[in-house]
Amino acid sequence: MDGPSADRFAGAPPLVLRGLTKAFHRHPVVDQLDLTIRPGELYALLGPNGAGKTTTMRMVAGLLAPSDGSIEVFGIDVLAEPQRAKQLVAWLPDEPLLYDKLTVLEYLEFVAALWSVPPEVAEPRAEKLLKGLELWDHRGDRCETYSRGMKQKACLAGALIHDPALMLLDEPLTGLDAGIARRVKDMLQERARAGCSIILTTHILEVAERLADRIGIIANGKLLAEGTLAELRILSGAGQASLEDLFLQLVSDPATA
Amino acid sequence: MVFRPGSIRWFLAHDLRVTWRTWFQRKRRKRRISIPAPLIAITVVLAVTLALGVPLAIAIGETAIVATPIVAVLIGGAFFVIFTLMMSQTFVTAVDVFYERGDLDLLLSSPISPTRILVARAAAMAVNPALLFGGMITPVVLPLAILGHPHILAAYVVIVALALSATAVDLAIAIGLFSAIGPRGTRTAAQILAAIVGAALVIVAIFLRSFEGAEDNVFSAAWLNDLAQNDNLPALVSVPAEAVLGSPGPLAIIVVFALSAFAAVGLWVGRRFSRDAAAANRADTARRRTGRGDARFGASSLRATISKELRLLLRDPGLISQVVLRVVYVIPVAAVVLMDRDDTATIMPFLVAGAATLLAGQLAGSIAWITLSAEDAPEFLATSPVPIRAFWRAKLAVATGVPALLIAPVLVVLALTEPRAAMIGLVGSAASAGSAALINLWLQKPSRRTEYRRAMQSNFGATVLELATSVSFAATAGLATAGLVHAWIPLVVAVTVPALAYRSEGAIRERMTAAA
Repeated sequence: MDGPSADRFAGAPPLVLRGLTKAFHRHPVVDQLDLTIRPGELYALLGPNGAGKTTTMRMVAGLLAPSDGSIEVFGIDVLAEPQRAKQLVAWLPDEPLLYDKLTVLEYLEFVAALWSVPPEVAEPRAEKLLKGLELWDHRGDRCETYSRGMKQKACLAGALIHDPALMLLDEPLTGLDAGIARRVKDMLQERARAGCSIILTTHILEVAERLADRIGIIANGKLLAEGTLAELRILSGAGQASLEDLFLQLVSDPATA
Repeated sequence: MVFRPGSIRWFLAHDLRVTWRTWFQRKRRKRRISIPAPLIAITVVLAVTLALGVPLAIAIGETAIVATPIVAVLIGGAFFVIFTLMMSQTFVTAVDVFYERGDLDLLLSSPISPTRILVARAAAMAVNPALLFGGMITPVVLPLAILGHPHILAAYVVIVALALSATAVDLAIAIGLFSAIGPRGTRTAAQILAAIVGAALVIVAIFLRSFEGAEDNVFSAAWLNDLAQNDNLPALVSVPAEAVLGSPGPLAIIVVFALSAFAAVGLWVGRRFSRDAAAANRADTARRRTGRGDARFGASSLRATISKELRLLLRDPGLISQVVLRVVYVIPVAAVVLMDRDDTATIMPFLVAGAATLLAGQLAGSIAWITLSAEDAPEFLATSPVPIRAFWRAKLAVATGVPALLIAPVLVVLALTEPRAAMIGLVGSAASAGSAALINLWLQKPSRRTEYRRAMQSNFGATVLELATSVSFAATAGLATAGLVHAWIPLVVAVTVPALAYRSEGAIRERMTAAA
């Protein structure tokens, strides 16, 4: 799998959030969030429903304007230069965004054109992605005939076709069968090894435990804790507790929340 | 009121609750100020009652209303129109009963008989037109009933009977289409048929006016006079009027007919409901190969977006039929104008220039509405590095390009004999199409394309402005072709109207964000 060269953006961290806040009707959904993602890192953002994970991701993707704070992608101010920042980012929402009447190949053509991927790069990459995600045999079928899992895979292919340097994945494994979920996990790890930074949200704690280099736990819009699994265990004084135990302890502890 | 779970009434209450909640939610989202929809409806009915119904009831006073030939034909005609409109209203819903998954999988997997589910769903379909048209006749019926003619309340019974009959007929046609052309084509055919049924009365009325002699025109004074003196109307013609006026026999005939038709169709369709719904589901999810699977990478973002929009339009016959039907409605009007005149040769050039201008605006407006507002992946576009203005340009290019392709041959033919008229038609069409497309850009109302198919959404404000501007440009083109200096008057209107719709890029973005 090809990927962004690690030194393409040497020096600037892939993502820096400072004091990021988003309030709806004066109620803060994301509250003074500080977060830094390192190059080539797979970062899992965990939290209960309504914790502010998706809102944070949507602000980074440029879909929501923050109420306060700053977002930098590889040193680029997302609010000041959204187009430049978006060139480096891929966003995969939990609900697949596809055109029902297009085939997956036509969808990839469209995405590649938006990110100005040269045809000599886009074409073989599309083939490789679709074969890897077991969609090649369905490349001429309209997306309206796909199952939810197939749509999710098609969207993932769209997110990868322009070789992003930072990927924002909201529940990327939802609706995938075990075999494909494993393939997607392997693919994400390959991308991270190739230098792509990935931030993902998931409710499947086992995924975060196995995949993530670092884990951030968010509740009520605030980052409660972050670090590797070992660091989180030390932080909570929980010995050899599972991530599930740590997570439940952190989000239910009023002192941290 | 609590009904026995699993009974038809229980299913009916469930269906109505879901339908109305969805409807009210959609209406609330549309309005800036939240006023309950029933309150608006009651206010409108009350206002019309006071303005129209009460004076009419006072004028009629104690005079007995009897089904004279003229009353019979007028009431019968009105209720025939209502029946046709009801059919048009429930037709797409009748077909969607089989396609809309929603809770259908849950219901059909339950131990309840599919017939019961279908009958309840069909009854729910009938309730909405019954309420709508019941509300519409209220301003006339209620004052009459209160001021001395209580028997006219039977009109509500007739309305309910018509709603049940219309639903039964629609379900029967839906099943007929299912059997004849299969589940895949049925939905599209139903959309086209529904629109044609809705427009049929207008089209037929226009042609009747056009082809009959002026003195024999339907609803002309002479025609009404003849009718008033006709004592030998067939009994069938007077049955609806007598039923509306509360005559027990005719009322019983209509009620028994409606209930029998509804029950018969309900039982017939109910028996095959499970099987047909499964077939519809398969048709929706069956593999639909579109090409050989070749890729054509390397287009610019503009070309890629244009190509995407064209593919989406061409592959959605349901949506495209809604667009094309707008043209179909205009054709009879144009034909009538043409046929009403003796000096066809003289008026031909300005008529063609005007009609081309009108069509260009209407088509561009419809297509722009779909390409700009019906976007399946707005978030995806928003996360791409391409500025939103670039997408708008591409979508406007499609909206104006398609009408250009359709109208160009007409103007080319016109240019062979009337180059000046063709040139004016060309300029008028371009201006009309451009204005209509821009109105839809400024007043766009983002929503997923699937929602458009289901709700046939439209923006009333945009439609009115778009019609006003294209009609004004058409008038300008027509008058200019005829060499009349008065052409500047509609031109001023045509240029002013789009200005009313203008929104800055920031305002459009705000609207899009709010919709998201």
